[in-house]
Amino acid sequence: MGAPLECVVSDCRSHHDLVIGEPVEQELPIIQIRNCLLVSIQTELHDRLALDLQASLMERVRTVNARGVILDVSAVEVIDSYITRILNDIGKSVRFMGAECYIVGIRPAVAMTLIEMGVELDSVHTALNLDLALERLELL
Amino acid sequence: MAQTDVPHVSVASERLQLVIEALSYASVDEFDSCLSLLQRSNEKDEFSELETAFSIFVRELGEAKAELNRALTQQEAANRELEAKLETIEMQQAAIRELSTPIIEVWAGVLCLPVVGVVDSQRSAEMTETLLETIVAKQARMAIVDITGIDVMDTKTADHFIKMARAVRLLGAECIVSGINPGIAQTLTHIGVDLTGVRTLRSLRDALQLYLRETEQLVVQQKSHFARRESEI
Repeated sequence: MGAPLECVVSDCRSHHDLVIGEPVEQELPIIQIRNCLLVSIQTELHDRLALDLQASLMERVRTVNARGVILDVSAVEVIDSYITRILNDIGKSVRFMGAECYIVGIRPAVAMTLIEMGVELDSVHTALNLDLALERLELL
Repeated sequence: MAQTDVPHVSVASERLQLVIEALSYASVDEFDSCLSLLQRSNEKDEFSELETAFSIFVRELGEAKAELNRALTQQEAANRELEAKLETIEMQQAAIRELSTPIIEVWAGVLCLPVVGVVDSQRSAEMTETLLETIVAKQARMAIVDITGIDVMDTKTADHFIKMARAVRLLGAECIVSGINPGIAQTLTHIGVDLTGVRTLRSLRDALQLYLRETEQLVVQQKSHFARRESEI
């Protein structure tokens, strides 16, 4: 178990450096549905992008007084340990602001990799799809 | 010609030619023609002794060669048989792999995976993969892993099931393990496996009942929620 994890970590480091060096500015659209915020992530989730998302999401949660945040990751094929940490952080800080965070549409391969790596995604709720997440948020 | 100490043997050139021809036959595995050539001359002199020696040698060589060929054919036949057997084994393994993860949709949004036999890392990885893919494909809210068919469970196997349950939860579905028999329950307690993150129930029936009860509760909750909201409006 030790060796592959190390290799994954080192991969993610180099990938991180590479992305930091990129000048491309990209922003994920945050959609508001009633009092929920929805972010549909349709590109690969790079570290920089995730950090930007975290910042702008917090701001929006405050301004619209959102009750729930839903992140749709059904198009994301790679979620590494760093991204998981950011997602957990988002979940925690959203909860501090009185909202709940749902991650929907995690791919089977991604789920298996996260479990194999021993990474916990425990500060957020998960739902199969947007519909179910909205249904649960409605009941809050 | 002057007499020397070493006795000379005079041979007719045809006989020498004959021996050379015979040996050339032997070199291309024509042992019968070779022997008939060697035995053609009926003369009895020193050279005929050489011829006899040659013919004995060639006969032995021929027999050894024939023996070798026989062994080789046998070996080839055995190899072919072995290859056929290996092919059968591979086919059977593929069949077993396919049979090892039957996933049944027992209710709308409820999947059941009955597990029978030994669960090793490879099989558990395949089971998890298939289960997760089916959950996503059918958008199932609950997966019941029924392990009635498992007699013994060690730490490793338990670990596989815990991992499977956690992966299912990551997708947003719920995973229930049902049908743990008394022996396994005792072993798991004895070796101290932590099953806190996994919901366990006695049978598939109980798991289904739980699902129905929970959906019912959900519906009631939803109804009261909407009623409250309407009254607020």
